[in-house]
Amino acid sequence: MKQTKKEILKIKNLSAWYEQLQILYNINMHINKGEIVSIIGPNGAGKSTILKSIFGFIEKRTGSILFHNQEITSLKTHELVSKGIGYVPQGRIVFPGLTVLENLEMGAYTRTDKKEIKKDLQELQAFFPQLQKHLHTNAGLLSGGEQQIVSLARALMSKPKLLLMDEPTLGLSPQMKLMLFQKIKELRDKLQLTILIVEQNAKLALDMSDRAYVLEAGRNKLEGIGNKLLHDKRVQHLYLGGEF
Amino acid sequence: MSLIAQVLANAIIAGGIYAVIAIGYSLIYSVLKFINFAHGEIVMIGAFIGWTVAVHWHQHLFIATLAAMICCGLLGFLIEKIVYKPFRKKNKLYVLLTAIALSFLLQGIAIVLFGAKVRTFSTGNIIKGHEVFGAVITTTQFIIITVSLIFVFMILLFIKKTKTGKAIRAVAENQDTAAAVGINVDRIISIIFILSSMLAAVSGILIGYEQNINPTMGTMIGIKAFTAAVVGGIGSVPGAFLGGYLIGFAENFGILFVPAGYKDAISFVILLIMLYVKPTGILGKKTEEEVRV
Repeated sequence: MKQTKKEILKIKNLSAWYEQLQILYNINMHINKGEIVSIIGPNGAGKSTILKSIFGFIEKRTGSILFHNQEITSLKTHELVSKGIGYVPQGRIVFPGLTVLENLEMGAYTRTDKKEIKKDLQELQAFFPQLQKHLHTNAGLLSGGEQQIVSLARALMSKPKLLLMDEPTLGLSPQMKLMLFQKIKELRDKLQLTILIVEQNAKLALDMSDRAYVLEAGRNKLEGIGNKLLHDKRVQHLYLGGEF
Repeated sequence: MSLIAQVLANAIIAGGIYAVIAIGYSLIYSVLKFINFAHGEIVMIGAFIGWTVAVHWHQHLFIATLAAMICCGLLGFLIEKIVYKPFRKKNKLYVLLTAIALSFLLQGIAIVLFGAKVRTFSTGNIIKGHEVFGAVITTTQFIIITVSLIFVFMILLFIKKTKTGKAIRAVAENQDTAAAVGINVDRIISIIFILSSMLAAVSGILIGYEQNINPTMGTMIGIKAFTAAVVGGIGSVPGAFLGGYLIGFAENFGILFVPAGYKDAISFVILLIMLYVKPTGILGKKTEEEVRV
């Protein structure tokens, strides 16, 4: 593994609230450059809330979040995109009334290098051939899997260093899930990306990621190498109270 | 024949003005999902600024229009920042009541600044119109038709083609996702208010060249343009364009069949029928985009 052990993201004592309801309790996490890290845990454990807190969608929170050793806790969502953080929201959210091409152009909203944007558009189309034939179709008319790819490609258009993905495989067919994870791995190598994934499908996530954090009721439960956790009795117990 | 041609000409003139104002309602609704009931008052303020510069200070009409656009743009920007923004995340009813209060406030300010007197742009000379297919159209009316069409198409092109225009559509579709691609949503909202208010200023001056202006003129014109926006499909800019001309045509052709005194009622009857038959409007989206004022 070509890990340089350089921390790209560090979360210290993060707590977060929705209105009066506390969701996260003193979460600690770090992500090294080039890693694929997943966050797993039962429903309602606060997995997505971690991503939303990093990305400035949750106002009421304490603790600190460091990106490249720089405090980003007080930054607004759109400022984080310019800093190099990309986000793929849960539920394959595209701009339905905009064409696929316009969706991708919006992904490059923070960039001004027109030539490079054109080149990246070409490369992404080569990487996701599904995009090509629908370029001028309204994104809302695509299938679920295709929308997920538009959503991912749109996030990549901002040239992020760190990509946050919120349950990217939700509602996809088993083959699509596997394909998507393989694409994610390829992207990591191709673009030197660092990826933090929240995933419902714990087996798939642990199988595919370098490291994982297991969450329970808004607290850190376990942390470790992906496939080691896969066979950890405590993880198995957390899910269904037994083997997968 | 000449009667029909005249009515057609009047319909196009009125429709163009309604369209320009209706686009403002729809743009703001598309992003913030509320009806800016003070929009008609911006039209009125625009008319008075234009009158002050053109008639009172004897400046060229072009300068007067520019001045009105800049002042109203600034006014729209400030209104959003100071009056609407604090309520943005609250119940929509708050913003609605605030908008109604604001329109009274703006009317009051206009009465204080410009007096309650009726003002007029025209110089008093009666100008002979041109005859087109049997209809008599004055030069000013030609200008009204052309200017309103130019502004409508400019805004349609802007929304469709430019980066900022696409960002406006993205913010209208999903604010969180728009922020997630790096769009500064607050800035886009400011741009929308500035644009809508500038359009309102232009239409205020266009109206001033057809009718007298007074501090309460914004109410009726505002409600009619709002009707046009709803009929066309609130939130849709092409819909507002369509709705504007539709209301203009319905009003002017309507008085061929009902007494002219009912002219104002025609658009409201259309609004009622529309809300009953197709609440999303002609070009409105099928989803939850129904009018919720």
